[in-house]
Amino acid sequence: MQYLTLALCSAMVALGTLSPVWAQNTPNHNRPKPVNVDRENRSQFSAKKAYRVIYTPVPDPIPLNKHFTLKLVVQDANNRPIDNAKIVVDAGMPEHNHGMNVKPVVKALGKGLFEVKGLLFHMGGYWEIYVDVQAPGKPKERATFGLTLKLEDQKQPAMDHSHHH
Amino acid sequence: MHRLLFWIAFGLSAAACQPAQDEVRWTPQQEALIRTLSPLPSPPVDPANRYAQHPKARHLGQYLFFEPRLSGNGKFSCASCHNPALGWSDGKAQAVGLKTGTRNSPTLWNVAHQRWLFWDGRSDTLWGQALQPLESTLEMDGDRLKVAHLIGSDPALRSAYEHIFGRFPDLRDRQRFPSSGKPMPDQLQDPRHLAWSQMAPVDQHVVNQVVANVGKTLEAYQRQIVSRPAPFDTFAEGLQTQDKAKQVALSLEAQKGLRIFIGRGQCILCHTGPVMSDFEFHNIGLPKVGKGPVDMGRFDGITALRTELFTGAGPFSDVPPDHARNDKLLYLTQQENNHGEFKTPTLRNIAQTAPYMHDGRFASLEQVLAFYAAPANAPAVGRREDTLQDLKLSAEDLLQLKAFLESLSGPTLPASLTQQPPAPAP
Repeated sequence: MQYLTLALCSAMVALGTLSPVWAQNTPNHNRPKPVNVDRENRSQFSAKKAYRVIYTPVPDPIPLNKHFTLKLVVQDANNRPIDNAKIVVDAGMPEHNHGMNVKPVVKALGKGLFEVKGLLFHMGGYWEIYVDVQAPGKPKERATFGLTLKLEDQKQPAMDHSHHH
Repeated sequence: MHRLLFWIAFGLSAAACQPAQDEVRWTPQQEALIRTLSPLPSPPVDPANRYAQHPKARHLGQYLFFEPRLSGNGKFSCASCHNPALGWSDGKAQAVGLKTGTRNSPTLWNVAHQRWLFWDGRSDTLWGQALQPLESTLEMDGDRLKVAHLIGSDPALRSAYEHIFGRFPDLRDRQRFPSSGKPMPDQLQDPRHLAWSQMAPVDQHVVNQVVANVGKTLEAYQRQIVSRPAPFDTFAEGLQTQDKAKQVALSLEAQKGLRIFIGRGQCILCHTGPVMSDFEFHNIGLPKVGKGPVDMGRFDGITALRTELFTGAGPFSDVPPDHARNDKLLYLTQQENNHGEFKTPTLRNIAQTAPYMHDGRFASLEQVLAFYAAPANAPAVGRREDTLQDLKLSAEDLLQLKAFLESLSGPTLPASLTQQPPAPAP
């Protein structure tokens, strides 16, 4: 019986050491927290719902370690475009406690459309895009978007950084 | 009955252990991650240097790379600190030129892939950075006027230069073009600084154009310092083509190390892509060593970059300032977070390039891995990124990671690329 117990334990240990092989290899602080999953919607209200912001990246999906552009649609709470809002855009990796190494430039295109150039996500993982909106005479509010840039989804190696177009 | 149960249980145990002993099984996600690391493509083009692929520029650049006459005392060349036999580094903790510096000589393996040059990224062009070590009083202590006169006065060098760049400028008037001189903002009374600062701006421009061209030949040469396929690359190819014979290029231990590298070790977050670098900067919480001043790293690098003349957006670049190639300069920002950040080094041929870290504080890969297994959080300056976490890696994990890192070394380059050619022109 001693041998039986020993062998069964041995089997359990062996199976136990096998099963976590896949589980062990999932980086956990590189994914959004459950509370942040809603942020992955590309249309978000600002914090107190004074504004709605919709974004589209160019190119789409966002590439790793290359500059990309965002097209923004900025509306008030009644879905009317806001032309003359002050827009500031930033992004960061809250799980890593760092941001981008670039400062994007925002250009108003009219009719509530804005173009944001110069963003660059240099690491894979969970990123948040912060869009601060302030319409004249209105409070400033922030819309926050979340997205996960997956290394394994990169079709091409992240190399082509000096001559993008 | 007991005996039967024993053998069933024992069999289960043995069967369960078998795959872990003989091979690592890869999930589709893991295979996709491995595909992002290999093979290494050619370096990206450099539109800011129209001579980057020029065969004669490559040759002249190789000649000059090994040429001690570029240094102040005629004893140091680029190869003194970037020795091909030492992984294009020098094997020392801190670079030793005319004096001892404060940082480790970075390897030149795959340097043409880099977005920024130096540990602090204070240069954005491979051709522009070359002048800095050449003129640094810690390193080669040469100067741009002396280099320009050397090219102009040595018939072979002058001929090689003119075959690439056209007619060499007339520098014979020593009133306008002193024999020695360079800008030395930290040593304003140095005769070389005085000589340079008394030149007419138009004459300074002529000399700067010559040394920018010298830098462009050095880049043309260094673009060929590209690592050859390593055992890891053979394995990665075998994994993709399901060729078991190629997969054995990576030992079982190294495969397990790879699994940690792309998985719970999370090394791949910064050591991304085939060069295994994100080409950017991080504060990993390295504590202060020694009594010298704190190294601000990327923060000061950005300050220096903003006054740098030889950039892709500067007057000696072969593209206009608004070229897309210069977006990295256009959108660059300096932040408090840049305090104490240093560039993520490539891991290609990493086993050749000890000591490690920006200041060479770790003599071995074991020491580096031990740091990452339980990273300190007492940075010399700034704040450590939370990218680093206590990974609780075991001693066995670390051995496996080391085996993987050692599998990233490929063959050396042919002698035709690792020594000074007999003459400046082919």
